[in-house]
Amino acid sequence: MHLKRVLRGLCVLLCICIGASRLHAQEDILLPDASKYKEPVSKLWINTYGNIRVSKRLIWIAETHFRFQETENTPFAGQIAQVYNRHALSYIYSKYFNASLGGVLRVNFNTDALSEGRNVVPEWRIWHQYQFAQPLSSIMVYHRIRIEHRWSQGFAQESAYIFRNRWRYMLRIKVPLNSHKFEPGTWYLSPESELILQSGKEVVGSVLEDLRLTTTLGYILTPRLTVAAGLMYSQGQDFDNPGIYKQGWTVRCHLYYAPDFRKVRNKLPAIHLDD
Amino acid sequence: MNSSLKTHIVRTGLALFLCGFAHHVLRAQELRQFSGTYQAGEWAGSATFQYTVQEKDTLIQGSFQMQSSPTENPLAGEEDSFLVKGNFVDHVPQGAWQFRFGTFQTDSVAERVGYQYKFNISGEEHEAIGLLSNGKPEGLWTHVVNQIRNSTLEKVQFRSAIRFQEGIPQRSFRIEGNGNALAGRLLRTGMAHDQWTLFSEASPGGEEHWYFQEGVLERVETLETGQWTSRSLDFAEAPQRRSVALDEAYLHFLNFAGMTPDSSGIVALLRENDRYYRRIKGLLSSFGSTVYRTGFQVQVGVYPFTPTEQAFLKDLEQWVSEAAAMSDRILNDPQLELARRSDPEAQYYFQVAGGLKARMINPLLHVVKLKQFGVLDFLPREALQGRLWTDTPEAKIPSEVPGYAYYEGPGADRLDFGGSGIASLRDMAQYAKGSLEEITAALGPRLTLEQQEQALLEREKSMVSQYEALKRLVSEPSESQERITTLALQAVLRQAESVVDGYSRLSYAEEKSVEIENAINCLENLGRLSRNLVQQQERSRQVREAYTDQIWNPFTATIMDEVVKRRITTAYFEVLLPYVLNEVGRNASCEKAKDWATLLEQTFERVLALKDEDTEKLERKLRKEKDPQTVIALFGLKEKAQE
Repeated sequence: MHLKRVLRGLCVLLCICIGASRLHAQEDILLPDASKYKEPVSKLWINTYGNIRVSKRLIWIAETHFRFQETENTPFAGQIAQVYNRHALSYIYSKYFNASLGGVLRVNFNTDALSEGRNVVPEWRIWHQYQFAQPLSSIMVYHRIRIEHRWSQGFAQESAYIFRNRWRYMLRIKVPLNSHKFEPGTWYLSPESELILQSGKEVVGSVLEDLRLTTTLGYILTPRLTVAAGLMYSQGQDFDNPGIYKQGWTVRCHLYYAPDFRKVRNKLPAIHLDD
Repeated sequence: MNSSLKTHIVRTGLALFLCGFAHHVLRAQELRQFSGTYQAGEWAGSATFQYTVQEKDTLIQGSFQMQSSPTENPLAGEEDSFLVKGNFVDHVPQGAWQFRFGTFQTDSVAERVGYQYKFNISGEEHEAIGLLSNGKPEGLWTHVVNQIRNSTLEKVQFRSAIRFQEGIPQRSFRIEGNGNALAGRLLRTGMAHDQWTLFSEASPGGEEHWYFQEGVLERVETLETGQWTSRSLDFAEAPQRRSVALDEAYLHFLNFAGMTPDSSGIVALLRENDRYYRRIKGLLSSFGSTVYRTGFQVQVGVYPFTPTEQAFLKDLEQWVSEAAAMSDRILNDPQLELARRSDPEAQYYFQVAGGLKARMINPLLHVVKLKQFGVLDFLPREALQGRLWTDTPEAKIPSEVPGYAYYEGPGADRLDFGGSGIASLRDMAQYAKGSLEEITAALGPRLTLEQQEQALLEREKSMVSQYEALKRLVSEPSESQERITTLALQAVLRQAESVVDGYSRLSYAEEKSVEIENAINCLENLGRLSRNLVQQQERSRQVREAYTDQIWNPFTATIMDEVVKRRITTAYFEVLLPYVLNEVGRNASCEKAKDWATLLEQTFERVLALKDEDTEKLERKLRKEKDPQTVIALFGLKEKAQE
């Protein structure tokens, strides 16, 4: 019963997408002779990452991000651009591998003061992720493959949803600075790079959605609480014109928390998982 | 701008990454230099070496040299010196090693050479040279002892050459000394094999042969006053075989079993060689992870003890030592020594005690010694009896004192020492002990006064040893001990001192015999309290460990320690322990010492137990609780110390 409804919904969405892509394709796009880079935009992200242990092998991922973007009046922090809610259930296969599946509701705010479109539009995603970790000396190396199925719309009044897939790969390392291993009181440096590719009927040429180069400095307060802050440089092709590249400088502030509301005695057998 | 900016970011990221990495590698491998006084086992001297520090462990690396400190006054008699040269890899001896130990005397006549005085020295020097691989001897090891007279080599007193492979002696070896030379063969396992021969200058054809067959010593032949004597064990076939080291215990067994004469040249050389190997071992073993020994192996037959026999041997050991102590006291009592001259009864008992000692106690002590060497079960029971006595002793002890026929101790009629088992040896020990108790009682009046004094003396000794033990415990250095614990321990020691001082001021025997019990009782309690205080450091560690869970941190994907139920540990570490330690530091009285000790023991156990209990309510109540009495009550303990 449910499945039917979902399928019907998906069909409708697909039709809208195809329709939208037709509309889109009709516009004329002028590719520049050489790649053009727009002036970088500055942004501020304040992100919270919750990892709530619900059973021996399951974690409920609850992330809320506040993303600000510069405007002409407020040059750096700017105004709120997106509020981002990411939820998923993550299965811990081993201490070095886990897989997650869940949904995202992103609320996009119109930051263009001259726009006559709507101020707020929602964006929906289904996402799944496969994360590998490996120790290397005292350093940890992480590989994250994240795949998102995304339904977004523009701010224009009659804007319809378009469907895209996002293919994301992130390589991240964490280097403890003041100790040989990660423990409470450890400062660590974490360089990371993430490549985000997109595909879909609407995506014509603009395959490189975003390349993000970030370095953050983190501090582990307790095994359940970590804070980090860093700077990210990003660039990616403009959705409407693959010859034009957007750029951004983003200050990122992160709060990581991992509560475990289970009773101590239930928690005990789960300590080591399988090592 | 863009491309240059990108390059810049990538470079900066890479540089930061490399910095972090190099920082770790460098820290782990930093070589440091040591030069100064160093202690290795019982040897102390000046040493030079390099080392690295890994996880708080000091690891010696590369060449190592250590020697005795220079003599301040070489004319002041005998002087011991030593020199050690070698190599380490990660604190494990590797490569060439040289050891030199000398004992020299300086000649009293000095010769002036230019602006210096030159003395001759005489003495002996033991030098050992060889390779060590992973702390084990490898290849040829030679030990040479040179005799030096007037600074020149007079003669080589001893020389042994043994070839090793991974710490196991191989092929043939040679040991020379006292004008004799022992040549023997070994299997690849280090097992003695074939013929071992002792040659001497007098008889070049050999004057002692040991014949081994894969470790089993089958025959010993010795040339005694021109005649060859052959000895072998005529024991019944042993039910089991065991490989054991050819060491002092085995040599003792051979002698006891009649395989080797007391004058055996091979035994003497093996013992001397073993002594030199032990000297090196004593030095090397202070570095851990070394196996330095001759490694000669032999096979022996084993006649295992039944559990009953083992229990009997335990009784035997206990009773023989008690009987030996009693007989020694009677035989060495000065008052009895005088009394027995005029008192025939005293003389009679004195003689009986002597007879018991000679006929029963001494042979039984021999059994105890074999047991302590771990070789008692190498002999079948019948052979044991045969080696101890030519004729089995009887319970009756004959007397030469006119008017006294013979002595029969308690239960003499029931006993038969003719049996060949451990049981009859145990019976004999019991009989000797019972008899000596009876004799002591019979001699009573002649020993009484001394006995009473003796008893008090024993109690005083035990008081002093309690006090000494406490003092040692308190003065044992402990770096990580907290000041508050040190102060409490010092207070306990002060109290103990005042108890001993108080006792020592007493002058009357009656007073003393009452007060000694109080003092001992008090010192016992103080001792228990001080042991608790010393253990507290370890207990605190155990509590911290118990209250630390290892949890998986999803953000780093690593395991981390997490402290749980922090309110309980805070109450324990920050309220309860400081309270007890302060109170003890303030007043460590004899009366309270026991209660404090009990409280420390009970809280430790309670806190450990609370880890696994449902403590939500308790934790709520403990929040910000600063009153120790309340904490004690909440922990469910009654504070006896305050009653």
